[in-house]
Amino acid sequence: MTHLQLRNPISKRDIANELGNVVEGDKILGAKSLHHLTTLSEYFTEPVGPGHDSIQLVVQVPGGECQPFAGSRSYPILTPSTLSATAGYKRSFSQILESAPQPTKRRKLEKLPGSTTIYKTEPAVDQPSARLPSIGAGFTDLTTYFNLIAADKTPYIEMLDAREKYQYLFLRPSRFGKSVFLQTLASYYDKRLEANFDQIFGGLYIGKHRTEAASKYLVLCFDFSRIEVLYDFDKMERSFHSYVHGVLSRFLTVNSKFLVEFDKDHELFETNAGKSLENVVVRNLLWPSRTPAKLDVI
Amino acid sequence: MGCSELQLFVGVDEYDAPANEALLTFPSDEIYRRLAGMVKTHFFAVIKDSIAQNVVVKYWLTGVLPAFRDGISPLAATTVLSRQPRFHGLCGFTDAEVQTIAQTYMSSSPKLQSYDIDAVMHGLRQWHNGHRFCEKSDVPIDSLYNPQYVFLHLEGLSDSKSIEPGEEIEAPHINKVLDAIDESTFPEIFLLAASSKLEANIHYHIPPAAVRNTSSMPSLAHSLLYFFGVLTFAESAESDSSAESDSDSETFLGVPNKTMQQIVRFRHCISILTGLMDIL
Repeated sequence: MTHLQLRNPISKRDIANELGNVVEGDKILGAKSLHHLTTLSEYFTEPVGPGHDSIQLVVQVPGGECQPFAGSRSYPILTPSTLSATAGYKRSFSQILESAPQPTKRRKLEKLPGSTTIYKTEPAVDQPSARLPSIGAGFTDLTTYFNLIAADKTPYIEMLDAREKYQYLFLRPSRFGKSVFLQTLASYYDKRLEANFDQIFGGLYIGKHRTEAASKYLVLCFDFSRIEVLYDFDKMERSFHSYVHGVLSRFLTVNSKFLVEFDKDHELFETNAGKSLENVVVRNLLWPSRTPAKLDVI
Repeated sequence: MGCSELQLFVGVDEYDAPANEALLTFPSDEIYRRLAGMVKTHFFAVIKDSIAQNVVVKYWLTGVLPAFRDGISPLAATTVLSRQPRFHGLCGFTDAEVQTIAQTYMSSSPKLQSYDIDAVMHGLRQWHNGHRFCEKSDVPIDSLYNPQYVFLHLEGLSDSKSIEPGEEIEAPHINKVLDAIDESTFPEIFLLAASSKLEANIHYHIPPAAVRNTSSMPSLAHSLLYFFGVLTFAESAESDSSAESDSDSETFLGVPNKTMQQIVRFRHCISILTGLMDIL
């Protein structure tokens, strides 16, 4: 389970009021399912209870296993104006990018007239109006939500895969869709999703122009915006090592059927990302009868 | 299991987010220096080794500035793909894409069905189009829209809310880079870029220390603003004339759209007010 805790100084009533919603009474209405493309603010339309100095959201991947955020991370105190965007953003990366997407029900895609890239997912009975992706929407969202307008950038995968190997850096200002494209690549290459390839990519360009690299690799993704930059370097260092440890631990878990037995307790180190990464991406994968790197004893 | 079956795709999103935060937030180099050393040793050097051993075969990094790449030796082998014209549209929307999105969204929204598509497109172009990230190209390049702001703009119309992207204008990531730029350069940037006459001299390799020390070289400030999307390559006046002028013609920087004009104008006003306060 992913627990996203919003702490005081703002009360739940203040949040709800700030978000323009009506607060009535002191009842707690209980758990509610969250939807990928719904901003957090939309969940504050109901009464919230008094006397609590935090709100806890439990986010579960639709159709997938519950997984925690990588490592430990304390969230800054959020203000109402940053609430929905921050929460949606972090869910997206934690659940989709780092852990690699889980197979979910994909919708039929319809290319829109006059365009080779823009498509709309199949409509739903209770969702007659077309929708647009919200901030933080991931690649999975773009093909699993009803009546959603999005762009198919997968022709670029074919161009990238003209090279069997590559090391590319793509620079763009914020909010140009860099993360979604990375998630698209991750899903495309992910060996775990091979059985679901047609379901995921069948309606997109690359589904009909599949390259040799499709579903061929293990996928390991990091989001460095998750690294806390702090004046206290020791704390920042712990945060970094812990983050990498969490990502690697989850990578080993979800890819366990492809890997040789791995002793997480002795080959992943919460205080040494380099050694852990070396054990995972070099020693473990190359040498089934490996010699894991050890922590130096001082 | 043979090792040939176990190769990796490694993705690193926002590879320079912590580095930029350290450079643009903290006054001393110490935090950046230690952070860069840590990430180099414990991450990028290990990935480089795994590439050399043919374990990682595809490696994709995203970011905003080239500075961190230039300061981290294991990243020197990466190719900056975003400057290549044929990959220009990989992130961002073209005018044709936005037109299709707007038409479909408006026809489906009861509130927007009576709106004139040409008027809506005019607003979208004014506020969010105009980004060109490639300096020169043998093939025509469409200017790009910021996708997220296209969506917010259309939703704003549907909800009868303001379409002015105030959130972007006040966004910390933009304001941090503006804070790092010598404010005395803003009047010139504002005046020249507004008329697309700011000569382009983009530094594609930026030493990390230069990110917050742009006063000695205005072109460094222009480069930072380019990478953050505040400035962009201006549309060539000769683009529709003969091809012979393309290769050697000068390129200029301009402000891509009204959103970025607002940002520059706001900062220009702040610098004027600061000057007045100093006089008083």
